[in-house]
Amino acid sequence: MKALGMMVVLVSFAAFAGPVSDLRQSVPQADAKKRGPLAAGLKPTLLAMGEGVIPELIVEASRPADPSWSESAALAWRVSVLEALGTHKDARARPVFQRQLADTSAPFMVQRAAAEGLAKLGDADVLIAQLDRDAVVAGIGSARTHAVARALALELTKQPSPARAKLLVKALGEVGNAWAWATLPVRTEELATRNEAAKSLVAAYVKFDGEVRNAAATQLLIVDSPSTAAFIAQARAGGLAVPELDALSQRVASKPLGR
Amino acid sequence: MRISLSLLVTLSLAACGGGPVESFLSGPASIGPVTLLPGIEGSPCEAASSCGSGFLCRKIGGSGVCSRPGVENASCADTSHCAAGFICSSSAGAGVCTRPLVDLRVDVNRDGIVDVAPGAADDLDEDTWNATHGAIFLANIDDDEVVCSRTVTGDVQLAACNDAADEIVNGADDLLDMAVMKVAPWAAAPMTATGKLLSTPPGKIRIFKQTAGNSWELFDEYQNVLSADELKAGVELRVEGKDVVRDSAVWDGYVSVTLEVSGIENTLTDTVKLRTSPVMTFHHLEAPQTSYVTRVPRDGSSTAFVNALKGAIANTTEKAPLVEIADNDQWTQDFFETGYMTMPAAGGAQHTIRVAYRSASLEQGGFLRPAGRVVFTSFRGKDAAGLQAWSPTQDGNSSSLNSYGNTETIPPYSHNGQTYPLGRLLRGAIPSFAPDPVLSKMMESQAVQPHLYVDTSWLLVGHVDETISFLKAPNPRGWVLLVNDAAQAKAMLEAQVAAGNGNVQMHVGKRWYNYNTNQYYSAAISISQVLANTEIMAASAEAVGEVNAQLEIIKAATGITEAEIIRVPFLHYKEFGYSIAYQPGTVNGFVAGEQDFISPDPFGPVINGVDIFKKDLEDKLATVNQRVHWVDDWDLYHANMGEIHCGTNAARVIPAAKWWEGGR
Repeated sequence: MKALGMMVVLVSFAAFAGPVSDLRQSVPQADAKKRGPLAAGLKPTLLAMGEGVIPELIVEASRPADPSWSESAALAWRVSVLEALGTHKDARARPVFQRQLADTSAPFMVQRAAAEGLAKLGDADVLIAQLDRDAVVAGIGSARTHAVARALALELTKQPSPARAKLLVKALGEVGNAWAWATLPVRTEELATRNEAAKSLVAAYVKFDGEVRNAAATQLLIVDSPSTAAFIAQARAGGLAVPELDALSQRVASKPLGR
Repeated sequence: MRISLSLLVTLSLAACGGGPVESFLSGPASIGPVTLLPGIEGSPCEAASSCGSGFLCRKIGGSGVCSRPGVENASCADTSHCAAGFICSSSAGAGVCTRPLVDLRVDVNRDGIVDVAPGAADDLDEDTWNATHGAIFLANIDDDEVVCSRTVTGDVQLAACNDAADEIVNGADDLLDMAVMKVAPWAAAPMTATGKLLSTPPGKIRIFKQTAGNSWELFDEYQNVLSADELKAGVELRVEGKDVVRDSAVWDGYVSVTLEVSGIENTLTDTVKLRTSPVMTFHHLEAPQTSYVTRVPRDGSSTAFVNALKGAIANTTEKAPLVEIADNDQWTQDFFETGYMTMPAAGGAQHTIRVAYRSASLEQGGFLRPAGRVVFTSFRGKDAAGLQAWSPTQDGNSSSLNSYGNTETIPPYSHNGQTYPLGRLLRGAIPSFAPDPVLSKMMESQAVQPHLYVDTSWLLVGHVDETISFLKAPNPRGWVLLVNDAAQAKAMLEAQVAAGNGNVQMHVGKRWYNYNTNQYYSAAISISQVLANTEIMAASAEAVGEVNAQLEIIKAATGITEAEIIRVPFLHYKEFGYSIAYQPGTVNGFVAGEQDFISPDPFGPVINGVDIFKKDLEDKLATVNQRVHWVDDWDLYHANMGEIHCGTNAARVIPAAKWWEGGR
């Protein structure tokens, strides 16, 4: 039975031999040329192939890496395929994301990409239920709903470690990202979501220091909520003021997104 | 010359006979009610108290006579016959009083010459070091005779060879890399005198002594002594530093050298203080002398890029020669960083050893990035050194930060009472995402270009050159900051949509490429499609916020104002959850001259025959007298997470500013 399964997979791979498989052959070269930790350019190339390759991408997502590849090459390809699938927002990829996310032994980036894929498909509830996982936090921001913002805000109140708090803060920035919202066809939850994110980010700014505070300030600029100034004022009035709130107010008031 | 106070006291005691204190106290003495006339020159005496003011009781044989203490060249039988500060030297047969000359000289006044004349400036405050005086030496880590192996495979072994690694002077050029130190001649030194040279802290320098025949030999501080004849004639010495400062908490770069002369009645010393040159990096205000680029063998896109770069450089004022490095690692900016060390030379010049830092990035397998070997295999030579430092346990996740695209130099400035005449190093690092700690410690320990860190952890590559650069400018500051501004890019594109140009494509003729099959897929995309792309817009908004955070830090540190900042528009997108330039990152260009900036071609939308992104940058840089030269880097660099700056490098003119005057 197992052998039969393998045959089916192999037949599947063969059946979808095409541009994705062709690109797969170039992964070692892309890896050799990379500037950072992982080879970029694979995802945009996969996307440039168009939606017609989605079935092939789905098959490719299950293929094991070539054993001759380096660790970074294998990871770059695996994540690039998942991210390309995520960008297409095609429901046929949902099982792929679910399967990859279920594999908690997978590299963090794989789990994050899978979570992001589900987020883009709108599976917020599934992800909110797994917010205890850092990879899910890192990927959930693309599910731009008020519920996600609330859930992230709630997590921030649970005394997270600084590392996890930073992830939560960044996710709040992603879910409330002003420019991302502006591209969405349905924006009914935009204001509530961005406000929720901003309120939580101001609280995080006051509550944490160091990298978390710095990240919260930056994400506030990205969320660019019209209520941020009011949230800062509330923080002051509530006795939560820290000297840096003045600096934060000035940065927010400069509105770098909208300058 | 400076003799320590304690020794001076001892010397005074000795000069006065070494007896009880009263024996050298001169002046009238009272004995009972009868006042005796104090003895004058030649009067018999038992003790100094018997002699008049200014006389001592000189004992010759069993009897004493009052006598003025002997000064230079006065006859003496022993030092008790000599005035304070003199000793009786019997080296010429009959004894003569002579002032001991234990005098070690270095180039204290930094004029490139060591002057042994009495009272010369090189003798003043020689045991202290500050911005106005104090001698300097170099870590002699170049390879003047070019004898180091270029084929050794081990990272440690490759770096181990340099002129400071042996105990010989490696030719005439090697001597020039050493600081001059001299023992001033003491013609009247007693034949019993011997000298030692001791450095503190030990082991940081090596001393060479000139011998007959103008040859040089190692002076072993623990085994060798200077003879009386050498002390009489004076000794010519050279000091070489064995290494640069790697951790200022362990060694701050200062060395004191003490000349200790013994074999006279009391051991005398003279101490000088020197400091080793730090390794400094170049800022963009200095014109390039040599440009570098990697030529990837059998790579057509590399060949095309190199040719285009050559063409652009040919159109610059400086036309800095382009050196090609044959390697598969195309990231020329990343695998080495150029720098230099200097010490004063005659005529106000600086003697320089150029230094190239090797990237500390570890590859799989735990070896250093191979392309970085070039600092030893190609650059190391006469007045040129390679340098490396890394931790074998570095965090692999932040390995990319060790690339020198993540090390830029803020040009010189003053702010809040602080002056940075050589600028400051700008690197991307936060506590949770930082470059190799050993390399960072070494770079920070150079001290004269204090580091400024910004957060680059949001970028996939994580380098400061992705968002920031600096250009010379005719303003009071002397430079402007170039900084990425995705908001401006979005606004430019929105303006075109409003003008009815939303369907105009950008990235026309560019492609995403399959290296294996040579298949390619068009990268062309309309303005409206870009603005409607959630991922591009989300990443670009994030870039705005993150760059704002970087800018806040730089503004606070430098006081730079918006009027001195040039915004460079391009959008971002994300891969692997991290940000990267979506349009060619035009801030990430090569400063190829004092007025020439080679920028990646943005392949922006062409409206009425004009690429609006090209025009934007050209217009802005024209305001600071900078020309833009466009080079297509899409296939080789942009598509691989980099731009022109990442694929180039430069060694620049040594700044006129002298590090030792900077007060750090």
